[in-house]
Amino acid sequence: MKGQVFEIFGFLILAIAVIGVILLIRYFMIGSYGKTVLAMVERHVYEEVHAGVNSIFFMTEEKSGRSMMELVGIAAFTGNDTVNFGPGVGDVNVVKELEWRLDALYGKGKWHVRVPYPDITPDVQIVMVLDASASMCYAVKEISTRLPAVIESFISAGKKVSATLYILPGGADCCNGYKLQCSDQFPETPYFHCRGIVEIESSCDTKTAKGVGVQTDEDYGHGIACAVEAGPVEEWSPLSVKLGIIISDELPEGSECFSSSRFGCCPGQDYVEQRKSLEAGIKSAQENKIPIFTIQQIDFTGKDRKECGTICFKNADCPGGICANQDLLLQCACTDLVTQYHQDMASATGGKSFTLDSISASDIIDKINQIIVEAKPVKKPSLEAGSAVPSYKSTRVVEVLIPVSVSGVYTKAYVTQWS
Amino acid sequence: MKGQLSYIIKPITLVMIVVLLILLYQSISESTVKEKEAQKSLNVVSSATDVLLMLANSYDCLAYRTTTESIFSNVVDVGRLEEFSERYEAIEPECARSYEFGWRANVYEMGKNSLPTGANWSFGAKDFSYGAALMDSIKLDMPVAIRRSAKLVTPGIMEVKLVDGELEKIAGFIDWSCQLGRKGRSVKSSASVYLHGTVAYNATDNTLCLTPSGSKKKICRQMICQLDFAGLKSPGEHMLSLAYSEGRVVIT
Repeated sequence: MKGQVFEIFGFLILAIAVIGVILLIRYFMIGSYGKTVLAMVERHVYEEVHAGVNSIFFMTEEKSGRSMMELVGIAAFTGNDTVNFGPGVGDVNVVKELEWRLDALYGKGKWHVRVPYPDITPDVQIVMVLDASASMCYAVKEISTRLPAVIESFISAGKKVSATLYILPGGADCCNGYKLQCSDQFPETPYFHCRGIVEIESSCDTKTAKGVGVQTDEDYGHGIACAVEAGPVEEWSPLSVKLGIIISDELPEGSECFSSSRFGCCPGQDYVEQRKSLEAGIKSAQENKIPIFTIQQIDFTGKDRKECGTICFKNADCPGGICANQDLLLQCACTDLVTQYHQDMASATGGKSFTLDSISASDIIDKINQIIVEAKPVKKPSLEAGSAVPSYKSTRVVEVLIPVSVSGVYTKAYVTQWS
Repeated sequence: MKGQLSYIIKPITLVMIVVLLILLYQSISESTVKEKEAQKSLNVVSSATDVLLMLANSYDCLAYRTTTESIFSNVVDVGRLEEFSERYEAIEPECARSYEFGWRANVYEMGKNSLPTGANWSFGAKDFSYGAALMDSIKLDMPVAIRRSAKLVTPGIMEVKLVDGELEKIAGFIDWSCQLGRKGRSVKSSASVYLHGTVAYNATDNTLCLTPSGSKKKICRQMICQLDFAGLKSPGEHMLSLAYSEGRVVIT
């Protein structure tokens, strides 16, 4: 009996062993097959993700014609997801451009991009509009003698600043030997340029009711619109911090109210054309995202605040010059209203207004210097686009080296994709 | 009694051991067959990925190359797409030809709404094996950039349908022999093919056609070389001998 039990027992062991071998063979075969299938599928997905990343940065944005790699490089330089290419092309939102392309290639909610922005100080580009009426004779002396040197001092210090001064038409001949027009008195340097605004009128989209770029020697509303649209001599760079500066002592198009019984400023009067000019400047600056800084100046040297100094200019009737005490003149009488206009312009565009409360006659250039020193872009630490990376899913990350425009440095784009 | 029991148990044990060993043998054979099938399936996936990579990254295929010879991976030239759509309307381009499988590629442009814009290009084999003649097929895609000009490069998807079938196998083998013959590397070759249908050659339009058993629908593939081929008039295994001679492949 024992023998039979052992025989049966032996057979059972053999059966179990054979079944075990069969199961092991199947397990290893299937396991190995499964692993290979996964490896093959993963290889395709890996190549797919790489192909998407490779191609996306070579695609171009239709308005600017720039590749996505260039756009991300520019955004990394300026520290801003929106790149401004100036009038014509306008703003390009790099995040949105990446978003629709990656959505199209990988599907919505299946990717994430992060590009750390390096800490770079971008260039500063300035367009300035100078009122060219006779009361600005004092300013032209200050500007022509000191402003180019101030710009050069920034360059020497390693901060690339360029400025184009646009002088409104008129060109008063001042008794101090200066003229309110671009001439030899303004040195032309690689970083400082002076131009009559009439030279760029044809490039301006904003026109006055008469179809011209600017109306009068004080029309700085239309003037700044034109300057912003035409840009500086070297043209707007998408990489720069862009600023506009207005220097004037009157309302845009002048403070005169001709409808009044008397010639001069009429506080409380509805200055329709002046307001239109101001609004044109604000609109253009807002559309082009350029903050406007205003400097309200009157030469009140040796006088109490808001009292006018002496204005001296020459004209055909009086080649020797007319010197007038300005107490009764309109640029002084309208000071508060001018301040209000300047503040409206600055606050609506994100700039700053320097009024007679904050500026003395001699520090126009100091204020310009201050504007340039404080001109810093609001920088983001990085570009982030797409959905949050899920922690519970298997993800694939591809790194792409991105050249940061002009700076000579590189950053990296980290593209994460999941199924 | 003990002895009689032993006489019964021993043969039963013997029979069961034999059964077990047969099971073991079957299992091993089955696994080997399955492994081979799996290998074929993996080859299909792998080949489809390879075809996509070659199309998108090789200058001989669609990759954009600058005048300074720089090649842009995954940026396909719209000029090449137009050319391929015309030139390879019914056959795979040589730059990414797989002589084991047949494929057709479709490249379409994507728009801002994540939908195709309507612009698309297609090239490669037109017909594929089906029914019993079809062994496996797969459709894979890969993102590409479509370069229309220096300032207009748009997103696109390149899709490949790759088919493992009897027509693709036999046509691939003949085309391979043709290419080898053209390059002077081999003029004679032979292979065994198994068909679930009949094969005929149409010299007028240089196509090889397969009619799967039980079906009337004929599927055809354009061939590279002209053939001297009487066709295969019955399903089953056939031994083919190929010889290349003066631009023609003679099949017996």
